[in-house]
Amino acid sequence: MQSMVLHPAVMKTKSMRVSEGSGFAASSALQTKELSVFYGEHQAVNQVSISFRKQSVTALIGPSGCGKSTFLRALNRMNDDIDQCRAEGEIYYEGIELHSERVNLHEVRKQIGMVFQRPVPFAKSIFKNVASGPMRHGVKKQSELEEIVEDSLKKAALWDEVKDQLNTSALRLSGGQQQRLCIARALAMQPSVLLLDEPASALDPVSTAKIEELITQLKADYTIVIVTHNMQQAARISDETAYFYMGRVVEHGQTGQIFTNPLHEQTAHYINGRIG
Amino acid sequence: MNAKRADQLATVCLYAIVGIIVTLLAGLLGFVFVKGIPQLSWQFITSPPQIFKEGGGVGPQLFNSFYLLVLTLLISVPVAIGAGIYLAEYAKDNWLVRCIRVLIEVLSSLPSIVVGLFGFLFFVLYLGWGFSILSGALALSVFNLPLLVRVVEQSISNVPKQQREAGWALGFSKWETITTVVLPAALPGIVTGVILASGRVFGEAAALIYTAGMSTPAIDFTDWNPLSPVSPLNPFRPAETMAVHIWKINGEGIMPDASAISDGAAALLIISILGFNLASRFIGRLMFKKLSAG
Repeated sequence: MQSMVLHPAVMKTKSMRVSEGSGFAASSALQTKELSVFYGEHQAVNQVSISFRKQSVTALIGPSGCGKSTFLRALNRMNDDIDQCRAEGEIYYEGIELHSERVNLHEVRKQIGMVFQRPVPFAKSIFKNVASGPMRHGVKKQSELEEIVEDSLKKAALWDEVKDQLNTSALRLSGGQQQRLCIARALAMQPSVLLLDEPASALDPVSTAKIEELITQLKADYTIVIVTHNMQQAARISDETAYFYMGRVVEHGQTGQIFTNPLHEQTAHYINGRIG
Repeated sequence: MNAKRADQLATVCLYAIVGIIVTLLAGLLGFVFVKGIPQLSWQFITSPPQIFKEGGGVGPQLFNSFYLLVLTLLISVPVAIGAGIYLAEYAKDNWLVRCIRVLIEVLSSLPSIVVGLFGFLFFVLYLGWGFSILSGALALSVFNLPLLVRVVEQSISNVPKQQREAGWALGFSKWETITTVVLPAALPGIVTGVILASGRVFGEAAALIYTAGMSTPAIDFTDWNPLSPVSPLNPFRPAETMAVHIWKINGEGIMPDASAISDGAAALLIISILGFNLASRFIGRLMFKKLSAG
């Protein structure tokens, strides 16, 4: 077993140490072990064990209602805020089990950023949209904030389009720009993992192409998990693909292999459009 | 009768109903304005009323109306925002919350004279504040709160759930999400609602007759120390508002020009309330523009 990498930042107390024997591999940023999610009586995710490699893009595909979005939202514990929703099993982020009571939930979400299906800019200026995360997490100096905002907008390939109107409302931007703003907002938190829940499904083809290009660029610095319904998109931008069906992972492997030579007949059927 | 005829008939009926309502409103407003506006002058708006002579004004009453409104809003808006946030964000759907909602409904349909009598018994007599601006402002708050709470709750509930999730995903706590994301987005709706409610409070008479009283002592508009008994800001002095003044001089006014003064005051009152309505539209739109553009 590899030695453990500790990120004390997500812990409430710095003295916290992770229990040994978690089976955590240093090459993966995020790993689940038999993770199940329930909505009341209904089990949406069924004992999923999967690991996401650092600095790679993993696409989660599968028919609607297969549990992939629920699974994604379990990774930064977004489901905590939904009544009647509970998770069982383990999630390891940098070797730390995220369900532990000693984990600081807000810090988890700072390090595991999320972008949603529809762009959700806040009713604030472009600058404040991007700066609100760092401000919440203790950045006070204006010069520092300006630096973070510029840097994040550049990474999200939006800087050139908005640099002269940072103080105008984010609601003025087009849908595609708004979505890149939301990505910039997530990047401003300096996360190491980005969870993208169908980030381009509400956008036009040109904006979609921009988002896809952005994702392939961001891969160099971030671990990216993306839920998508678009097979071509999954094939274009991901390194690994996991096929979900009825709350389980049917198959997980290199994207090239999954798309050209899937092990399971069901995966082949879905990719060829016979399920879904 | 075929569908086309039925459609025509319905259209005619609906237009007729709207026509009746518009005529009624226009007639009413026209009557008040035609009789009242000739009475309005700077002197009328600023000078104190005369009891036995002609030529009195409604200056103190106008001031009282605005001062009471400001105090009422200072008391009721923070409470309403707190209650609205609770109902929209924290309240679970259980019997206690359903009870609270029913109580708010009941409170909002409480006749204002009942609110006034409650204020009289509790603030004026039991707490011993006498007929005073404070008693009046608290009674008006009771009268105003249910409407405000509902406005705030509605404005907050109208903010899409995705906005909250986006806040949580940035590591905001529930409270931080409410203050930094939800409230700013709900602000235009809240402001519009508060101004509309102000119009209702401004024209209220029955709740004030027994709480703020029907008289205004001699006040000195140069003395702005709230503790001084002749200061207009003193919250423990009685204060007759415009609406109460209209009611009073129509019942017991003995000045020779009582009906002219009442007409003028009525027009002034309606103009002020019209002003609140226009302001609510204007400011609401301005804030929305600012949020979506500035």
